[in-house]
Amino acid sequence: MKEITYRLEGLGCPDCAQKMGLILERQKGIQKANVNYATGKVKIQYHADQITLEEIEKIIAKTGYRVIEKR
Amino acid sequence: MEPDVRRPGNHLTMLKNLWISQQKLIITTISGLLIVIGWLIGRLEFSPLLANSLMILATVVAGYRIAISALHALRFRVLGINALVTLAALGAIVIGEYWEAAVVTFLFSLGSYLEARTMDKTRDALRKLMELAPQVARVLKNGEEIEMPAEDVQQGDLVVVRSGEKIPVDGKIITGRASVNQAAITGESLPMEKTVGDSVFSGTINEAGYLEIETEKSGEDTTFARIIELVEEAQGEKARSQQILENFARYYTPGIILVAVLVYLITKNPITALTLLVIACPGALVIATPVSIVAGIGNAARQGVLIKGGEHLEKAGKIDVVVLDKTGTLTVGQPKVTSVWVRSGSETDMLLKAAAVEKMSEHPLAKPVVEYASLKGPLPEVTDFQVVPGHGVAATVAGKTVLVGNRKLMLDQGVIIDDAVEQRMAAEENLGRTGMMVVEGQVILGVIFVADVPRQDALTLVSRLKRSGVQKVVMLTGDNKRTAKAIAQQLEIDEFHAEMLPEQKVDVIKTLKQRGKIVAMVGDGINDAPAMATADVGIAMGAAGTDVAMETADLVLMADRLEKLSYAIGLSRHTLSNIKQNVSFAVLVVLVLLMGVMGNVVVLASGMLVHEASVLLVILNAMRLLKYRETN
Repeated sequence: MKEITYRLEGLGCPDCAQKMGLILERQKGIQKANVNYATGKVKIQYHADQITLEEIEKIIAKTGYRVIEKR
Repeated sequence: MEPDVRRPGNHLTMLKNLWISQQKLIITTISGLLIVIGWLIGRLEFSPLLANSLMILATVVAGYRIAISALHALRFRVLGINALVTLAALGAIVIGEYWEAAVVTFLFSLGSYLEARTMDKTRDALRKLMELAPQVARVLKNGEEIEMPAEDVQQGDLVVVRSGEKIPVDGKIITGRASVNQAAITGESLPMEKTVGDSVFSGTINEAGYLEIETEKSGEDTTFARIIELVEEAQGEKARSQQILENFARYYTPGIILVAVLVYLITKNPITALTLLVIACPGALVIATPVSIVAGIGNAARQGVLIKGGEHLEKAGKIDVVVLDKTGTLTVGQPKVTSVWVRSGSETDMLLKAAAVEKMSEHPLAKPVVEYASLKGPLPEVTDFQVVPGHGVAATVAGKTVLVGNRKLMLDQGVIIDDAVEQRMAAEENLGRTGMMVVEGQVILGVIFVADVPRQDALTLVSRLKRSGVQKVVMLTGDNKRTAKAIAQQLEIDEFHAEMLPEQKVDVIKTLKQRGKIVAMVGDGINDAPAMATADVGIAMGAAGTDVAMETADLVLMADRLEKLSYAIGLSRHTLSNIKQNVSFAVLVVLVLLMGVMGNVVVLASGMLVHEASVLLVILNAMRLLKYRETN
């Protein structure tokens, strides 16, 4: 299990932030996605053998947010 | 190469960048303008068709992105606020309420633009702190200064820092002296004098002076980097009440759609049903807690106080009892001369003789006497020095035997202690002081009293804590009862426990907790770790540079200053009441809106206005926490 944190831009409303967490958690290979509206960050626990970072970033882009920093 | 703005291609990229950074604002403005024009045309009854078309256009402009987001989410089978707004706007257009549709989407888009703006300000509290992180270091190698990124400096490297520069590593001063501003770490704005052998921290500033520092930690291992990391983690960690709300919100949106459908079926009024969709968005309620917490933690971080997360902050806001360890926390930890009583001869003469004898001793009570007397003049020559273990010291000064010690020493040497001396000794001992008699030949010259004295900042501590809402202050110490009582009385402490062993400290805290109190334990984070872990809130003081303390405590005061304690507790309490204000306000707004809808007072546009305004008010209320300072 690996962990990555993205800082996002465009998290306009708290509800959207939370829904993005839900979407991410429904992906195969993602164990947990914790989105914090207040800090604008999402912390994702994932299985590296089931999903790649590019795939995760693509999903984030599809939901309409931009990754501005990752760690 | 410099970008050439005159070329048309670059105008395009400039426009594109503007669009990317400001699209929310641009969209909102355009749709707002369209609404105004449409409304004017409608009012002038110039052409209803044109007016309505403009309204629909405004809806499309403002609503396009909302609808796309909603579709994205729906593809993943998630129903969110975007879907609610889209449904409401579509519904309004279907039933011919073009004005409502346009205003709802416009207000939603304006609201989310303003929210993002104000939220960025709140998030900035931490970002400003991070900007303080030093970027470059100058390392001295073979007599040459080499500039390199701060994180590439190796342990043991010698770093040069000149006046006005930022210290790029954690380490020890090898050469030089400087006044160092440690605000980035401890939140204290007054600079400290530092010289050879002192520790310095990355992120602090050399205000005046020259330093060569041997690197101990660099990059991510520095205290400064750890602070940033801990604060970021803390802001991400959710308070319990927040988690409950988020779980609730998960089923809320689908539930609202169901209710709206039912309302339509029952009342046959499409506007009521659509309004319900709009106003039921849980915006203010969901952010009520996290925004306050982020603002609170952000304020604390700038004052050198780390709060390890929302849950700890909530607990710290409820502290009833503060338990402190005496030595090092409430007292200086080193005995000092508190008073000198002269029986015969001059005070200076007595002090100099006593100090001359004590200078040879290694007893902990000798040092304060020597320090105190050294200010009075040069110490006389001493011969035949001897230690009487547990009793005192003896030596020959200017041909006469001088004894410095306790009653036992004097009794053994046949010195008669008369009533006047005995009374004086007893009186001072009841104040927690230790008397050292000074005898020349068989004559008692006087008594020097020493004691561990309270720290300057401890004198106002209890009243400050009481003002921040704490009911009771308890002191624990391994010292004897008399000393403990004297300090406790002087500092107006409510309750004290003396002669404590470490495990007994834990028991005291357990007992307090059993009485239903929320207990905070303040310590250095290392010796007091078990007691801190037992308490509801463990507070480490003076933790800059000690990783263990930073890890184990729930609240970390980087500076070794007691004012930070009452500040931290006061801030936590303010944050807690801020959260309560926000939550009750948000609930109230939802209730009022619901009643408004039932009574047909609130319709689509006004519902959205109230909703967005309530979200903004919640954020603005939380931002007040950024300005919190302790009132004196």
